[in-house]
Amino acid sequence: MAYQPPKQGGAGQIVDSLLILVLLFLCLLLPFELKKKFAEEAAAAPAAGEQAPVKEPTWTDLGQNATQVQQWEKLGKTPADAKGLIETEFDFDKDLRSGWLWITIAVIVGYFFLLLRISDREYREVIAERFGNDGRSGDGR
Amino acid sequence: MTTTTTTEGKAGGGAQHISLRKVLGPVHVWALGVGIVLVGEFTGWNFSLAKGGAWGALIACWYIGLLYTCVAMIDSEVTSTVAAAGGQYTQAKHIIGPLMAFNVGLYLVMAYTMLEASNAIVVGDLLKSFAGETGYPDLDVKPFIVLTIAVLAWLNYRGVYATLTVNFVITAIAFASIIVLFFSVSPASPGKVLLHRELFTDLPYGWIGAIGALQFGMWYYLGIEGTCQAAEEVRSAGRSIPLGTMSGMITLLVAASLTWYVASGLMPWQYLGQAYTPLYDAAKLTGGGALQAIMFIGTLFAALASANGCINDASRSWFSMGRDRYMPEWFGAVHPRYRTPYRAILFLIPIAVVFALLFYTRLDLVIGFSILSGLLGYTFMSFNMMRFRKLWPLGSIHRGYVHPFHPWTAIILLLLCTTVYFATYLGYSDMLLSIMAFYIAASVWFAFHRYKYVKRGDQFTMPWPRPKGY
Repeated sequence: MAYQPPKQGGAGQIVDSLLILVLLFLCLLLPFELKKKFAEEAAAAPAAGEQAPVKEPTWTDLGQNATQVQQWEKLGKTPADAKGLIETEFDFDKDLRSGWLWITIAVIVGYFFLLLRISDREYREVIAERFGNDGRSGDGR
Repeated sequence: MTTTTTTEGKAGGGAQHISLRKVLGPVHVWALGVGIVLVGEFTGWNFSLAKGGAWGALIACWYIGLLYTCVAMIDSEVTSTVAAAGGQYTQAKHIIGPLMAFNVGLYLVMAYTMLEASNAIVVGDLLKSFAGETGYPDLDVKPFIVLTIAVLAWLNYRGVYATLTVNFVITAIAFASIIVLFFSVSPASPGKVLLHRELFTDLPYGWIGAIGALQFGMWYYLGIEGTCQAAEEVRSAGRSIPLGTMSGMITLLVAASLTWYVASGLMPWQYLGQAYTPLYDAAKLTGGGALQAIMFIGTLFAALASANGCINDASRSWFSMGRDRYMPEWFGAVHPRYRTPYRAILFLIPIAVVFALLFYTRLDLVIGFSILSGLLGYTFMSFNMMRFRKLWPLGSIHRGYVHPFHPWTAIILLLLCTTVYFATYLGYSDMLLSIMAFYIAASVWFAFHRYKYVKRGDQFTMPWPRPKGY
């Protein structure tokens, strides 16, 4: 006999819709909002000791050649404006040394492994109900 | 064209059965595919320069081009055989199983909704840049971001034909603006306007940076596979989808090559690697007011066309999941007058708005969420292809197209996808784990709660024989 799913009421549908939204915002928004908050707090914290006056950067300090300087200036950027863009750096060595690499690999491989295993179990239910348990062909519905 | 009624378009559990309207031709399929992706030539691809410099971005363009060639080959075979709304989601239902289908549906919704949010951010940034140059540097762009999403959602609500006809016009104008930009920079006279020799550096982080650049190389082409979302609304799926998709890929390959050549010859890689509107900036550098106006319109139209196509595709995936009860059944309704999945369209608006407003200063993150969802979908496609040939060997069912080199295409696709996961990990490991956490949590929710509402036998509707081994 075919599986008869329960009927979901309006309230249940609203709860399910909200739940998927909560999951989405929790996983994708919360970590970055917290990270941003911590970064802002760290930047706002008073530095210990007396700080040396910040020296105004020059194009030479930033390692730009004459053509690059010309283009930066055409874009309306001063060395001070460009400093942040030029000195933003990725630390790939840190990424490679981090144990998170192996955790990330395990998470992705484990996710696909379980996805395929559970899907296969559900797929057998679909096929059994669609074609019956006697191996007959579909009717081209 | 008038529509026929079918048993597929069940309206939210009501008694009336309404189908989506079959009005689209190859031009609309081209507009849907290229319209979604073309904005990737105007912004987004350039974040690959921050990791790999100009040469890294070019390597990414070619390497990811190979990945998309595999995607196109596999998709042509499977979509020509499973021509139904939902695209890869419907394929997963028939070939792998409900949980995978649920995940694939979510990949599609997330990839397109995040792309829509990033388009709204680009519109906002473009307007801010324009306002700054015309004496209004303090313009608050947030209302414009919300307005962009709201107006396009309304257009989608009113009807697919008007939506994609508008997309065709504005996509064609945006593509023409890239051609105009290319011929405005004396491309045959290197050193005159384009300064590749002086601006180019070695790979800034060595080869590891070039691998890292692959992540944003996806943005050149991401979304072209969305053409199969229109399968249920085209007059002739067998003709329109391959024709629209293949002409779309050719358009994108041309646009990607021109874009890289022009932008990398005008801007230092550190600027280009973090710019929100690089082609508009390229026009500013050439000093021509008319060209600047053309690129303003081109960038604006590309972002609008993309957001428009994204709302179309994301809502159809959400609608398909509602129709199958993978999501609440309420979303599976078709508007009685406009024949659009209106509830799905409305539900996805706040997601796009929230991400666009909160991540306004982190366009790379929003784009990254979209890329990763797309990447998970391409990984699925390699498993899907393997099983498709195993469960229904050649000759057992009618295929519209049989792609060559199987199983190598699927194996190569899997290997290329693995490299892009690694590329994403380099510099964006937190984002990678966040999005995996979302899909894992959603999968647990589906497997332990939502699946009980799914009618098992209804998940298989193709006129195929019993799959081999089941």
